[in-house]
Formats: sequence, C-alpha cells, structure tokens
Amino acid sequence: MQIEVRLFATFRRWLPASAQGSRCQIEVADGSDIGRVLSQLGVPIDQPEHMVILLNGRPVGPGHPLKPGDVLSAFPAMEGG
Amino acid sequence: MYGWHGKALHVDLTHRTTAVEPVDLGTAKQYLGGRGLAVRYLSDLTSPTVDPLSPENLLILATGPLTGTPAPTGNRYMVVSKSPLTGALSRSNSGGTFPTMLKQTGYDLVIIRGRASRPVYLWIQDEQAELRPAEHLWGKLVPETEDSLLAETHRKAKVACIGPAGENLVRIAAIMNDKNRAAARSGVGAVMGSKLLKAVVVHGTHEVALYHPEEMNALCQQVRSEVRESVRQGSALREYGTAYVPPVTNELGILPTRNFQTGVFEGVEQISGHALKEKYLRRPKACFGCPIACGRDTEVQEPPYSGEGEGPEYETIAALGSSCGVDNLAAITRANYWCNELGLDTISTGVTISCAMELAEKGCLPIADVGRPLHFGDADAVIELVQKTAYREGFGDRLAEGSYRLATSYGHPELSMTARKLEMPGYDPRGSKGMGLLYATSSIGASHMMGDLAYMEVFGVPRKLDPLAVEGKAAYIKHFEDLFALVDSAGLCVFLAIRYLLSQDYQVMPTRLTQMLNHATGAGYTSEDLLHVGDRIFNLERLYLLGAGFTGADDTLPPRMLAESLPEGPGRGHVVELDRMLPEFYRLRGWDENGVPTAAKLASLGLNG
Ligand code: SF4
Repeated sequence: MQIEVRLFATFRRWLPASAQGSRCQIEVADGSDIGRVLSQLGVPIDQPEHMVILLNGRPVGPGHPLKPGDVLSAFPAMEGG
Repeated sequence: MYGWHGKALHVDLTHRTTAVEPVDLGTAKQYLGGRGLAVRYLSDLTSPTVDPLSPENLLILATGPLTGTPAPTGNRYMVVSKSPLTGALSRSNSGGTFPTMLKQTGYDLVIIRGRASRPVYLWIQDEQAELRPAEHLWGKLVPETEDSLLAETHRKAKVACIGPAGENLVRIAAIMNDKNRAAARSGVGAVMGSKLLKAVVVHGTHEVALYHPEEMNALCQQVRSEVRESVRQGSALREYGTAYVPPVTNELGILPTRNFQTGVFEGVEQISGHALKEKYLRRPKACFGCPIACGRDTEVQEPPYSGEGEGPEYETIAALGSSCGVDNLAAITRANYWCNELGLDTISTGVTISCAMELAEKGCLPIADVGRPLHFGDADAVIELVQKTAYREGFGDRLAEGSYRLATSYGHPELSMTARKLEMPGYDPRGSKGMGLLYATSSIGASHMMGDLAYMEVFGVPRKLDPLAVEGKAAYIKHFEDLFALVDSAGLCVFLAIRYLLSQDYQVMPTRLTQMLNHATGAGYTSEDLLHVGDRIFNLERLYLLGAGFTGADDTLPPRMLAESLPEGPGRGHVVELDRMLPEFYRLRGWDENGVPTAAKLASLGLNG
C-alpha cells in the first residue's frame, strides 16, 4: 500500500531521495505499523518518548497500524519556538 | 548577598536624579528577581491605574539571580511596565549580551520614572549612573544608535535602545538590545519613548557572588555537556533555529494563516527552517554563554529584499509570513530586519497587518485609507506597512495602534486576533487548547511565553499531550504559568530551562533549577517553595490587573477562536471550549467564580496586604 511520510526538523535527514521538500510517497507492506515504516527509513525508534509521531495530524504511538493513503509525520521532541 | 547584588538603581528622568537603594533579601527570596521582583516594585511604587504613557508609569529593567552567573543561558532580563497596548502588565524578555552586562554593573534592577525634558540616554558604568543628552540619536535606527553609543561610551559596553517606533509612541514598539534582540511585546518601546529615553548603555565589572561556587560550576558544567551532546546528535534549534517550527504547526493545523482564518498554509515549505538554512543562513548565533545557539545570523542577497541581520524566528515567520499569507521568505526576512532596525515587535506588527488585510478583503477598509490595494500574500505591502507603522506615516498611524484599536476603528473588533488586546502568537489555540486557556488568562495577554504548553501539546517535551483535549488542561496551564514565572524571574532562557532543568516526571518539577538557584543564592528553596513563588508572582500580577480595571470577563479570546471552528487540518471542526476550562482554572488558582483571588489564597501567599 502507499502512504505519505513527512519528516521534519532533524528527521529530514532520513527522507528518501524521492522526497519533495519534507514529504514523500512510499510503498509499504500491507499490515505495516508505524514503527516498522520509520525503522525502514532509518529513523531510530528505540526512544519513542523523544519523538512525536502524528498520523493524519493526530498524536499516536509507534505500534499504530497503517492503512492506504495515511499521512505519517514524525519529528524529534524539541525545545519549542 | 549571593546571586543577587542587593541593589536597585532608581532613575528619575523628570528631576534628572539617580539613587541607589538596597533590595531587601526577604523580598528577593519571595519574588526571586526579574519579572517577579519587578512586578513587586511596580505594584508598590505606582498605581495600576496610571496612564502607561505618562511620566508616572515606571519602566523597570530587571535581571534575575542567575543572570550573569555560570548558569547556561543565564543571560536574560525582563522589562516590566504598564502596557500602552493592553492597559495590563508588560513583561518582555530578552537575551543577547546586554542583560549579563547589566547585572555586572552591580545592580539587580533599574527602575526608571518620570519624563526627560529632552531626549537622553542612561549610561551606567559599574555603580556610576549618568543621564546624557541624546538629541543627536533621536530619529536614528537601532544599529546606528548602538554604534554611536559604543563610540561615545565604551567599546565593550552593551546597549538597549528604541528605534523610531518607540520614539513615535507606536503601541507595538520594542526595546532592542545587541541590535537584534528584542524585549518586544506589549509596547515597552513606547513607554521608553514617552520618557524621552533613547537608550540604556551598560558596562560593568562586578562578578556575581555565588553561595556554593564549586557546586554551581559542577552542575552548570554537567548541563552544558548534556546540551553539547544533544547538539552533537542533532539539535533542531541549532540546525534550523526556531524556524524549524512552521512545518510542525502546519501539520497540526495551527500555523496562523491569513489572520487566523485557517491553520494550514499552502506555502509552508517555502517559509521553513530548511529553506532559511539553504538560502540565507550565515551562521547560528548564541546569546551570552548559551550552548544551544538558536539565533540566526542571516543575509539576503535578492533585490529588493537584500540586507543582513538576524532572524527570522518562528514567531516572526508566522506573523509576517503565513498570517499575512506571505510565502516569500526573502521578503519576510527583510521585513524582520526592518522591525529590528525600527524597533517593532514582529508578532504584533505582523498580526496587525494581517488584520488590516482581512478588513480590506472583507470590504471593511477603504483602499483610499491604506493608499494601496491590500491583499493577503502581498509581500511588498507588508514591507511598506512595517516602515509606515514605525513612522506613523499615512495608514501606518492606524497600524501603530495595534490590531484591536485598528479593527475597532473600522467597526469590526471581532477581526482582531488578540487577547487583552495583545496579538496572538504562532499557535492557533483551536488546535492547541491549552494555549487558548493560556492566552485568555495570562497577565500580559496572548503570549506563548507566559506558560508555553505548546511544549507538551506540540513539541512533546517533556511528554506529548493531546492538543485537542480540554480535560486536565486547566491544571497544566496553572502549573506552566507558575513555572514560567519562575524561569522569567530566575534570569534564564526557557528553551534551556524546559528541556534540561525540569524533571520529566508527571509534575514537571523544577528540580535542577532549584539546585541552581540554591547554589547561586543560598536561599535553600525546595521545588515546592519555588512553585509557590511562581504562584505568588502570578497572583500579584492578577491583583495588578484587577486594580487596573480588568475583570474575569476579560479572560477571553477573539470570537473566532470561541465560535468559528477550524476549517481544515486535524483540528477541523474545533473551537476553544474556554467555558470548559476556565471555571476549573479559577478553582485550581484559588480564585472565586469572577476570577478574583480569595482572601484565603492571598493569605497563603503572603499577599494580603
Ligand atoms: S536558546 Fe536561543 S534564545 Fe535561548 S539563550 Fe540560547 S541562543 Fe538565546
């Protein structure tokens, strides 16, 4: 299935070459959860408390399942603005 | 005394006199310094009903006990006054190098009253304070002013000054220091202008005495190496500055767009920190002794926007950029330079211009009044109006009054995106509900810096909270307001304090901040004592507001936030359910249903007269 991944701030470094700005469309195996997709991209997920994961703009944990067309975004927990 | 010098400099501009008075140690312990101590002085020395632009109003520059110590980011000062924009308190915070040097003069705070008969500047060299003529500086931009003052005082002196905006009593004027750092919010620059005080120049050689110097140095060293390690691993603030934030808030649907009509901006990629880094960043820049270095030294080479300076920060990008519908980062950066040079608050300036744009697009503002067509997305209009605002030229005279007075003068106060007449910062509270309660209850109006729950609702620090939930937010906001009062009073930058000095347990306690304050001052605080200090400061501010004529009815938000739901994004369909948070907030604060502190509450804080 296809989903959109958006990586912000220092997580941008794990965007694949096909990314447009901070966004990319990727193919993932059916039944993938968020943690699996992020690790495949290289985003370290061993400390989920140090990152923010949004699924379609809403905060979720790394074990959350994905469905086609989802927008998955992630960024490090940060100091603020 | 340790941490504090124990001295206040009183300056009377009317009578051209200065006097030194001791700061009482008991009072310093109870109010800490910076914001807390300054609000105590303001409350004791003036009536909350003074006209903010009259000689009777005070302008207080206050450092905290950690300012000028080895504490990383111990580089802040606070400007406290009665605001000409809001009629409430002003509490404006700035870093850079001026605050550290101010502390090194040997004074904890400088309390300025009266009005000079001609423009002057205040020159403080160690204990010596002198008022000098400033006619030759009046009308000058901030960078020229600073350069001239360094030439005529001391090469290593530090300068805080106003630009033309403050001189022209623009209600959204800032006090600038180190050329590009701003004590920006709620018109403190206009208070300084009303006193005909162009600048405060400081040079000092007094180290701050520390109670436990070894322990203090060890703790500061430890924090510093933690920050360095996290920067080494990749720090968004170091790499992108606060400009990393637009894509994040956009993702949550809370990036102020077209005067807060929506929270999703189609041009977000063009105004992100990544674009800033690729195109205009020369180098990250740090305030004194800060290992984070979130400042941006930038240069734009694209005419007609070419220039150099600092910024833009996130708030500036949101206000002068997306809120005005502008996705041209070169123009936003140039408008930021103008604001710094003219001495304007970028948030209030941007959000006032975006209010004018909405008025114009809705047909409520005649083109003839503006002198040009005005539409969202017009970057050149933004740049022109910034300059006109500072000089009160043409339509700029209207903008100089801030968005509430502007919108009201055209019969549409509901289009002003303000709380207590202060323009809202870069988090649309409909998608970040705690921020809504914060804007409504803060002592200065809509400021994120009075208890920034965006840390939890947006950035996941120290833990992620659901931004759309209202349950439990009242308790968080009370707690964060008290914590921020502490950080503001200690003399630290919140960016460091939140991440490195608070323990990340459920309560978010100021554990290492407590240790630092004890090593510096010897006051022997517990973390609970300190939260009590924060609570005391917040309640003292509340008493000031009530004295100034505010009531519980003023603890509110623009009708758009309360009744018009977000049209898109994850918060689609949401408004701020203030009525579901406010009663609980009052209860937790120990206030009655009208938002007035109860006698028992005041007694518990030692505020009952
Ligand atoms: S984090 Fe940024 S604003 Fe805070 S002290 Fe450091 S450079 Fe200054």
